[in-house]
Amino acid sequence: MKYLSYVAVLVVGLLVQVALLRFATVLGVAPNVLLLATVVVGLRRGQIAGMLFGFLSGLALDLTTATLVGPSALGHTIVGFVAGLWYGYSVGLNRGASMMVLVLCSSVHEFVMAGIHALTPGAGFGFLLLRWALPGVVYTSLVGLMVFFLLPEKVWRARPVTSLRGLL
Amino acid sequence: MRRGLSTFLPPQEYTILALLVFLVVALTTSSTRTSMDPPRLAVLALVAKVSRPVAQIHEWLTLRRDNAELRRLNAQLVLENARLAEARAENERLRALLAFTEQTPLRFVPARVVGTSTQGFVNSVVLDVGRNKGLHKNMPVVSAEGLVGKLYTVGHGQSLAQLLTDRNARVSARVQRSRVTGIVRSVHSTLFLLEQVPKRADVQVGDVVVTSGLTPLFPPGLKIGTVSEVSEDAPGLFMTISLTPAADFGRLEEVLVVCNTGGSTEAVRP
Repeated sequence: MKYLSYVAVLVVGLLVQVALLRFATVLGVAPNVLLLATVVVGLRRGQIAGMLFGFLSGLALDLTTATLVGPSALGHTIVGFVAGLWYGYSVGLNRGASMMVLVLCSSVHEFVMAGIHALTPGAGFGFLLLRWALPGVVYTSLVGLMVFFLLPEKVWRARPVTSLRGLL
Repeated sequence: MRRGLSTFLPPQEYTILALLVFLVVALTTSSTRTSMDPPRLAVLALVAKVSRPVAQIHEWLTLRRDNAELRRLNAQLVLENARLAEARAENERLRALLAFTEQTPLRFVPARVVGTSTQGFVNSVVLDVGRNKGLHKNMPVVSAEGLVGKLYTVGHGQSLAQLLTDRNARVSARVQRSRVTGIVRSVHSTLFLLEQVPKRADVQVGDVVVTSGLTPLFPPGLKIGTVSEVSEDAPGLFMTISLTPAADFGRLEEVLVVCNTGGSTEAVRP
């Protein structure tokens, strides 16, 4: 049953991302709610769950774009891994620290995306960082503020799972 | 024994990370544009189904503003139409003199934007029409202002269009006044570049840039943008020409798909 809830979060997150957040873009950038969800899954359930959720959510995002499949899947997988590093401390993590984890994860994600897209001809890595990555980090973090400061703590606090067997 | 073996193995998390990264690399390198169509269309069908009511509600909310804008535009177009009617009559007389054949008028299928990829690095939109309206891959997508992009994947009742603002999009273009040709690519949604134009070519600020028609993908004459800056300072053989895009990519709600471009759209692979 708990896996169904993650599937539901993924589907709802994807629909919100593609159908709703296009009305909330600033300078062509929208917050990445699926990345936010990946961070929360990583904090709540650890690296393995975070990586699996990140991989699937990134893959779903890639499938809604007219380009090669893979960049978002890779970025979100790494985010799940990084967010899960704090899983052991997440029970005692306060809201501010959780926000810092989100900012770090979002930065890592945008850095990876800029690195991948800098491989194609056109604008360079520095331009991609300043034009897309930085606004993306800021916007996603602002939305993260709402999650960590307005929603109840049980939404993002850790649950004790220590292995793949525990997860499954 | 088990404990001894586990000391030589990397932690489970690293193994899974390596597996997932390998899977991503395998997917990226092995998947062609068409091989990912079935899962892509399944996701798009879900998105389109849920997004249609959202788009409908948004349309209702913006109806008043759009109505005022359309009234203003209508008055402007009535005046312009009168002027163009004169020009058309003159054009027909000259064509008759030169025995030119009449070009086939373009046929459009209207489509509503029901989803957008909101990642800054790639730009595409989900449309609520597909093969059910006779659409195929690579058909051009335009708005009232000008060229918007082309169809990337087409499902039964939805399709995915790659916008000109996508970093991978390129269009063969021509300066309308001087007929100088080049290639347009996007820097971001409000800045395009016209590239491969030799220095000393006749390009001025304010010139309109349109599709060249040199490739079968886009019919000639679709407006892409207006020249906003011309510079010959860069090293090399070519000028740096900045364009202001004609279409407002931040406010795409309804678009038109061009169904007859004069060439076989299905056979073209960019």
